[in-house]
Amino acid sequence: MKKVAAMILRQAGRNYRQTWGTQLMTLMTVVLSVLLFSFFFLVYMNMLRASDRLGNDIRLIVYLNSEPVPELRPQLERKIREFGEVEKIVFVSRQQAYQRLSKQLGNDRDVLADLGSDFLPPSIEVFPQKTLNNLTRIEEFARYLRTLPGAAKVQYGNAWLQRFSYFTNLLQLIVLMSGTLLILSMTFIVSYTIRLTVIARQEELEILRLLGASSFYVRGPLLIEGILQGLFGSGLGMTALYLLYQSIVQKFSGPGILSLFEFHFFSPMMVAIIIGVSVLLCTGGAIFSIRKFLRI
Amino acid sequence: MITETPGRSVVEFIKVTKVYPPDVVALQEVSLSIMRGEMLFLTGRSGAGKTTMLKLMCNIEAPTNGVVEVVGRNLSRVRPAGIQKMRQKIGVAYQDFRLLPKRTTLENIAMAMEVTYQSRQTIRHRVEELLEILGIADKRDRLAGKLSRGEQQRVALARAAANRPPLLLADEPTGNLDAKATEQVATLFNTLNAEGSTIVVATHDESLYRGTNHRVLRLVHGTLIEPAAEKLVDETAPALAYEVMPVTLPEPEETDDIELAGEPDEVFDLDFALDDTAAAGSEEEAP
Ligand SMILES: Nc1ncnc2c1ncn2[C@@H]1O[C@H](COP(=O)(O)OP(=O)(O)O)[C@@H](O)[C@H]1O
Ligand SMILES: [Mg+2]
Repeated sequence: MKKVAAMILRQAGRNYRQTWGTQLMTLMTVVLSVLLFSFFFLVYMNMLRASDRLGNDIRLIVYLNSEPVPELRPQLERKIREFGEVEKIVFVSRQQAYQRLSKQLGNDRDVLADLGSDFLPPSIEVFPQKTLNNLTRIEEFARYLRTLPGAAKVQYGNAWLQRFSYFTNLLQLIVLMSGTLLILSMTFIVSYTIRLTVIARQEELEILRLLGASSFYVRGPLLIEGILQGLFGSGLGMTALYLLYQSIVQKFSGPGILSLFEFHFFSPMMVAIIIGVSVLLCTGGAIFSIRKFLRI
Repeated sequence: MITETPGRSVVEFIKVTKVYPPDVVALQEVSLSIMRGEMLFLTGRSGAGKTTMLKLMCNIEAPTNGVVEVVGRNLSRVRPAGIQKMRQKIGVAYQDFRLLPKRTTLENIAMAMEVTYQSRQTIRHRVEELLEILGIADKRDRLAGKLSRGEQQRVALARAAANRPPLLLADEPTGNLDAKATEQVATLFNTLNAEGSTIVVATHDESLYRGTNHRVLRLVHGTLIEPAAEKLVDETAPALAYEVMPVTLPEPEETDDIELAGEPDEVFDLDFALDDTAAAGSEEEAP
C-alpha cells in the first residue's frame, strides 16, 4: 500500500514537472476565486450578524398629540398588539421624556433650563419582535401605528434601515455571483489543466497502457492533482483572506463605524466547509476531464 | 504439436484470421500452440504477418476470425482489467520500440516495473543488470531520443524483459544490431528462457535462429508453415550458442518467476491469474 501511494505521488510529481507552468496558473486562479468569494461572503456574514443585532435595537416611536389618559392605555396597547410581532410597549410621558433627555445631556443639561419640563411630546415606544426584521414589514407597521388615535408622527430609523437593507441585498447578490464564479472557474480551470496534462502525456499514457498499468495507476495521479489544487488553492485563499481581515481589523480598531459591526472571521467550521467544497469542486473538474479525455 | 494438451500451452491460436480494413489479409486460418517454457522463432519475409501474430498475442489487435487464447483464456472475452493484468505478465519489445524519447534509458525501462509497484532499489538493480547483459550500461542516463537505433532497440528489449515476464514477445529484436549485440540479445533470451519464460521471437534475422534446436516457424503470406522436415540449419555458418547458459543473474527478490522454472504448472497459472469473469467487447484499438 505504501509502495502504491509512493508510486502514485511520484507520478503526480512527474506530471507537475511536465506542466508546472499551467499548474501554477491554475493554482493562482483557484486562490483568487476562493479569495474573491470568501471575501464577499465574509462581509455578508458580518452584515447579517450586524443586522441581527440592529434588529434588537429597532423600535418604533409613536409621538402623541396629548398625554393619553390612563384608561386609554390598555386600549392603545391592545390595538398595537393586534398587528402582532410586538415584544414590548413602553409609554413615555412628557416628564419621562424630559428626564431621559437631561440624563443624556449630562453636564450640558443647562440648555434645558429655559425650556421647562414639558416641551417634549409624550410617546409610545414599540419594540417589535426579532422576527420583524424585514424593511417592508416595518414600514407597514409604521403606517399601521400612524392610524392610532392621537398619533402625531411615527419615527424609526427609516433612511438608515433602508440603506442597510439595500446593501445587504446587494451583498447577497454579489455573494451569489462570486459563488457561481467560484464554482465555474474551479471546475473549468481544473478540468482544463488536467486535459492539458493528459494531452502532454498522451504518448506516455499509451505506453503505460501497453505495459499493463492499472487504470488506478494512470488516473490516481491526475485525481491527486485535482485534489491538491483544491486543497492548496483554497488553503492559500483562506490564508490570504485571513491576513487581509487582520490588517483591516487592525486599521479600524477602536471606536468608529466598524466597531459597530464587530467584524468577525469565519468559524473554523466555515473555513473547513469552504476548503472542503473547493476540494470537491476541483476533484469534480478532474474527474470530468479524466472521463472525457482519458481512454484507458 | 498442435494437438498437445491445451493445459500446458501458453498461447493458443485456433484458426485465426486477421484482416485489416479494408481487405488486407494478414493472417489466414493460423493454428498454433506455444508450450510453456518454449522458445519459438517466427520467421518470414517482411509483410508475412509476424508482427500481427505478436499483436494478437498481447491483444493489441483482435482476430477477425478464430480464437486467440493465452493460458487458456479467450482474449476477446477477457475484460479490460484482465487484459491490463495480463499485460504486466507479457513483456513486449515492439518493432518500433515505443520508447519515450525525453526520458532516460533508466526511466524508460523503469516504467515497466513501476506499473507493477516495484521498489526503487529493485528497479535500479534490475535495470543495471539488463543494461550490463545488453552492453549499454554506459547509456543508462542518456535520453532515449539521443540513442542510436541499435541502442534504442536494446532498451526496448530491456524494458520487455524487466519484469522477468512469463511470456516475452520480441519483434525483430536484432534488426538494427551488429553481430556482438545480437549475441548479447541471444544471451538475454537464453537466460530468461532458462528461468522459465516462454519466448516468442519474430525475426527474419537468420543468425538468431540458425543452428538452434528451438522450434522455428515460417509465415508465408499469412499462412503458417511448420518446417519439420525443412532443414534450416546451415552447417557452414557460424552458429550462436543456444545451449542453456548458466544463469548469471542474482536471485531476484520476488521468487514467483524463479519458481516457474522448477514447478511450472500451478505457478504459471497463478502467475497469469486473470479476471475470470468473461465479458465481451474488451478489444482495444491498434495504436
Ligand atoms: N494496421 C494495419 N492496417 C492495414 N494493414 C496492415 C496493418 N498492419 C499490418 N498490415 C498489413 O498486414 C500484413 C502483415 O503485416 P505484419 O504483420 O506487420 O508483417 P511482418 O511483421 O511480418 O512484416 C502486411 O501486408 C501489412 O501491410
Ligand atoms: Mg513486423
